[in-house]
Amino acid sequence: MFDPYQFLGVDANADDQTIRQAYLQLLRQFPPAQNQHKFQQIRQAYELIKDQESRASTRLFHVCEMTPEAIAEVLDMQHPETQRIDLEMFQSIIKSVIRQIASNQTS
Amino acid sequence: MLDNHLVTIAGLLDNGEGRLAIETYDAVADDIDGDVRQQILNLFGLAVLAGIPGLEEQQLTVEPGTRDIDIAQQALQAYCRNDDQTSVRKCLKQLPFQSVFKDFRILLSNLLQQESSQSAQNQFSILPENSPFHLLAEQISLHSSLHNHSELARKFLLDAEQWLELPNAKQALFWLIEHQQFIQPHIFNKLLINLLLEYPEGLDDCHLHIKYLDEFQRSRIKALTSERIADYEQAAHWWESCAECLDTHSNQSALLEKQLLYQRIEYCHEQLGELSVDNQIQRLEHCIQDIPENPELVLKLLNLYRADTRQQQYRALLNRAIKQFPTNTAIIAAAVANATETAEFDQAAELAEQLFVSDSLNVDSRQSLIQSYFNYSSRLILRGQRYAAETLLARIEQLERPAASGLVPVYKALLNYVSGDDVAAERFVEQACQQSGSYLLSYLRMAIETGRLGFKSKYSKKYLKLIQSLTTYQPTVQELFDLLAMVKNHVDAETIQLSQVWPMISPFVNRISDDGLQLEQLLKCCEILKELELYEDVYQLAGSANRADLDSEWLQFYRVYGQTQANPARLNAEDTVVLEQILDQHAEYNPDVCSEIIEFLNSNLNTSAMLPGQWQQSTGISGSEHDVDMNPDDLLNTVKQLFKFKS
Repeated sequence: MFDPYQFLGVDANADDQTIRQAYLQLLRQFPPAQNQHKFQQIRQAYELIKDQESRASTRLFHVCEMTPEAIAEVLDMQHPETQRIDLEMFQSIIKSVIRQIASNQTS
Repeated sequence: MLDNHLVTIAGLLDNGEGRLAIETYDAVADDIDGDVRQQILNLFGLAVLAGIPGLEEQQLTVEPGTRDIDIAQQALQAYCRNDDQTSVRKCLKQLPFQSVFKDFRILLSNLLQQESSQSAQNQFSILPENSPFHLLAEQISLHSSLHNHSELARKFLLDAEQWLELPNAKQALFWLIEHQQFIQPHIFNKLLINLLLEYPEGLDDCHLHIKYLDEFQRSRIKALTSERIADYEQAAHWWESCAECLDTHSNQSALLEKQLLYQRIEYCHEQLGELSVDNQIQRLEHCIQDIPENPELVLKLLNLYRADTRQQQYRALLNRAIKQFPTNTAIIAAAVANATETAEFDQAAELAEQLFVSDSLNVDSRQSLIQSYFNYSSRLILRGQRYAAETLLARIEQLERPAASGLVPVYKALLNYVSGDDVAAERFVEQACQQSGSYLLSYLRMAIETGRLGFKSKYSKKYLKLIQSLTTYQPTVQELFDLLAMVKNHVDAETIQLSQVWPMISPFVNRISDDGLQLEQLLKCCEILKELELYEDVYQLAGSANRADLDSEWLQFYRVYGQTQANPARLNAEDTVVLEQILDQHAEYNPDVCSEIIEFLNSNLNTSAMLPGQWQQSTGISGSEHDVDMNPDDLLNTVKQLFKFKS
């Protein structure tokens, strides 16, 4: 998780209340019982920006781990729209799934 | 392991033989259990969506049903055409819950949900694991993670795969600079800063490309990288630069950031160890200029001024602070203490009263204020303002019962003593001593402080009797130090004569407990007594401490010294043996002790056994600093010769 704002789906200028609402919504969506790792990420992101002091502290002192995935994630920020898979690709994926089942390699 | 029928049918579908797949299913449908049947039907559903030939006509006869297939296909097409979410969802809602496309509906809904919340990761666990749609969901998820990256990000990921060591911040940094023209400036900056944190040498290597990084970010990078290598001195320096960069901003956010920066600087300094007081003061002064509304910083600076005895600055800041934070109890308490010290007692009392009526006073501040009241009382007593002093003492009794039970009688005793009513004074001292013998010491201290201590002999006897009655009371080392130090100051300043007070103090000195007494503390006591020329007491104190762990050459020296000085004729054979042993044991590694002992012997023998200069002539030792440079063996032999000569 490179950017806690992006992770929680809020604007960089969002206020405490907006951030908390986004956080609670994600918690409902990903309850800890189902996905502990995800839950921890949500908590971590929230702790980083939950109030003005946290946000200031994050701006000043937070250091992100620069994995290639994290860098790619930032590069994608200039094209925030999610691109859907086109029909041809979708069908091709279905076919590959059928092939996988046929070859009994699903596990 | 998958069911054989499922695998067979999947194989036929994979070969594009939809019709044959359905026939096979029809043939075995009655022999397979419900779960497998559901999986196979789901597989047919998938095959229809993928447009596998041979299923078109047969659809009419198998379970998905024409209507469901049409809806599912419409939904898929709408999704892939990038129709808005509402249209796709509307379409999906038409699929019945019992349809074989139930899992497809879940899958597509989740994909739409991901779009609404970019953070949401694929959440397909809700799909049954044995559903082919579950497998499809995993594939889509895998594909999406790559597919959803922008072209530039995909290129980066592909290039990064070529690097041998991942993550390699240096290579990533150069890649970034190479592709700078394709990246929006704020994104470029964000990546640049974080990569430079991993690869700080980049600041120099690529300095042409990153010259537009602002001063704040440069300093921040340097501070963070300095911290990473535990160079806290540099880190503090760069954080200070960051704070300076924020000087031009005055909004709330900048002020908060500055405050955090100063905390960080403090943390760096803590890591570094103690700073000099000058530096701390300088730093805090700068902080307060930036963040004037923080009383904590002001209090810290006040404490530093006080510790560094910068009275003028202390008072100037305190005056400003009391105006700026009129309700801050810690600052008011400081003002009370200051007013007491500067003998502005009325002001002190007025401020203290403000605090006593406020509920926010903590225990420390309260005690400090009570102490101020006591100080004020003693000033009133010395000024001869008996009525005001009594009123104030009554107020203390009202405010603080525990303190009042012991100290107030002491002050009342002092009040009466100064007024000349020694009988009343004695009565109050006795009352205080019922609480603790230490109050008698307090009283003596205060009486000495008045500079008027001249106990009449009859009262001296009474006090001595009182001291003797305190059978269980033993003064602490600290109490004794305080008393001795104060006596010494007064004797040095000639404000009292030792003979006036010593009879009252010596019983305490003799009574000091050596339980837990540190050797160093004991030696200090001996030294003070020696300087006061109380040789008999030096001898008593050093001689009383005969525990094994206090077997120190210095202590033995003080004992012999005290004894000899108290009675100059008495440097007997036993003492000389002791001194000889000390020299024998310590000549090799403790020349200071030997030097002192020899000097002592020298002066002592000059007046008793030897003629002036005889010692030097016979030994060649002058008693000067050069002694310590002597060969220890020579020194020892010389001293031994001396003792032989003397005997």
